[in-house]
Amino acid sequence: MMENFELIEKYVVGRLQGPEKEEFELQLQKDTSLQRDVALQRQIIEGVKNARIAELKTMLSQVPVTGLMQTGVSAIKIITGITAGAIITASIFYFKPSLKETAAPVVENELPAVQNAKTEPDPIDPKEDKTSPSASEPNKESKKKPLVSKKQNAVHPKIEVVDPTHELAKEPTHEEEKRSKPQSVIVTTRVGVEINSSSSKYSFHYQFLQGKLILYGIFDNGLYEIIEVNGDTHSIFLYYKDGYYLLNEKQSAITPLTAIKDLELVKKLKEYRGK
Amino acid sequence: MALRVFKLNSQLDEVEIFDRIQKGDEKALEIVYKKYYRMMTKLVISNSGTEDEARDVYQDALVVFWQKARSGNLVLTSKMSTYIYSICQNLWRKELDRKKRLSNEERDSPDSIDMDKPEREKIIAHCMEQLGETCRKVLMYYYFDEMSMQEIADKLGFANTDTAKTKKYKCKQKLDELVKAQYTEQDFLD
Repeated sequence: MMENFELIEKYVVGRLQGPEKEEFELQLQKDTSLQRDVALQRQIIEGVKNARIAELKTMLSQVPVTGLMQTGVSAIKIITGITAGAIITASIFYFKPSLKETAAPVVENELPAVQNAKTEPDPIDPKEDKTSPSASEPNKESKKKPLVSKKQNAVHPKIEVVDPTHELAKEPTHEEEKRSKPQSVIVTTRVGVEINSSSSKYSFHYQFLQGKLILYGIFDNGLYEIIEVNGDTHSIFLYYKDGYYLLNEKQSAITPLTAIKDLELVKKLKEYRGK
Repeated sequence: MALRVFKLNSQLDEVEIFDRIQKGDEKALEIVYKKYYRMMTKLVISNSGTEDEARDVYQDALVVFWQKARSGNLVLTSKMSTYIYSICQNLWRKELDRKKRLSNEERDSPDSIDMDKPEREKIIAHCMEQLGETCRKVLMYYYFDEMSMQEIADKLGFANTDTAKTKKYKCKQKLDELVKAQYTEQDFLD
């Protein structure tokens, strides 16, 4: 029985050679039971291979990547950064008119994809690196940040609440600016949250799946907060153990949580939490 | 000059990464996946594919690359990215042909698709899930990755190759039993 099993398997995986193979094939032509066994083994081994392919693809799907639609174009990165700042500023504008002159904080360094690129430097192809220079010098960038913010103060003394993503994705909605009754800036979160503390691979990560936020890691239940900010665009932050994290709602890949370093932005978020 | 030095280093890294993949290091595959994601998906997206299709093609290409590298028969004569790019190109061409054929078949003969095949695949996939994690790994490493018994023993922490061999035999037997129990008589023949 064992011999027959081994012979069939050897034949199916292509390890049966020479006269042994010829003899087997002769027998195969005559024996319908053997034909059935060979067909079954073919299907089973194919099934095992398919399972491995599926496993490898699942593994790859969980790798955080910098896709074309995510941060592929550096201009989009900048726009997204400015947008995030604009959202917060918009909130301040609506909520606290006395803070009108505060500059829009740029949170470009908080973009998950940029952080991802930073966490795993891999100089396989220098050509590729040229396309994302911002990822290669993250520390310098964050050190320079206060200066940049000051410059923005000087260039844009008036705060204009502009969300460039609207221009890219939808028709411009200038009526929104004319709204006499501002909508609530900070709302109680309606985002469903799920904690996954069983993953050994992801210790402090997140992703959005079907509108639900999944946090990976050992989060003390109840000690984290989700802050939603409604400016021209909806924006979500996580507060956990004195740290604030910007959450990209479009981030379906599992992404590391990276604390916001922009002190100005952190200050504003602290103010919101206090309300 | 500095650029040259960097390029030399990157080539060395590429050799190292390829070496790790050949040895079955999945982390190295993840590094490659991340590194070339944009380059490879762009190929599909700029040739009338969606981002999902692009990701799927790229993942399939890396699986092919993985299997070829693991077989020990692959000798890279070009850059790794060039090789993977060519696999992506071939896979995407095939997919476009398949789509074209499918739309023609739909017009000509709508019932030419084997309906039993996906069903049988589902049964086997379900049976695989019923096996324990170790059994699944032993079988996948043996049949897909074509690992030797020594490699399987090392990777899964078995005492020796005999243990790996016995484990593989028993796991395969278990899988066969599970599949046979769910198959109807008709399913045994293609």
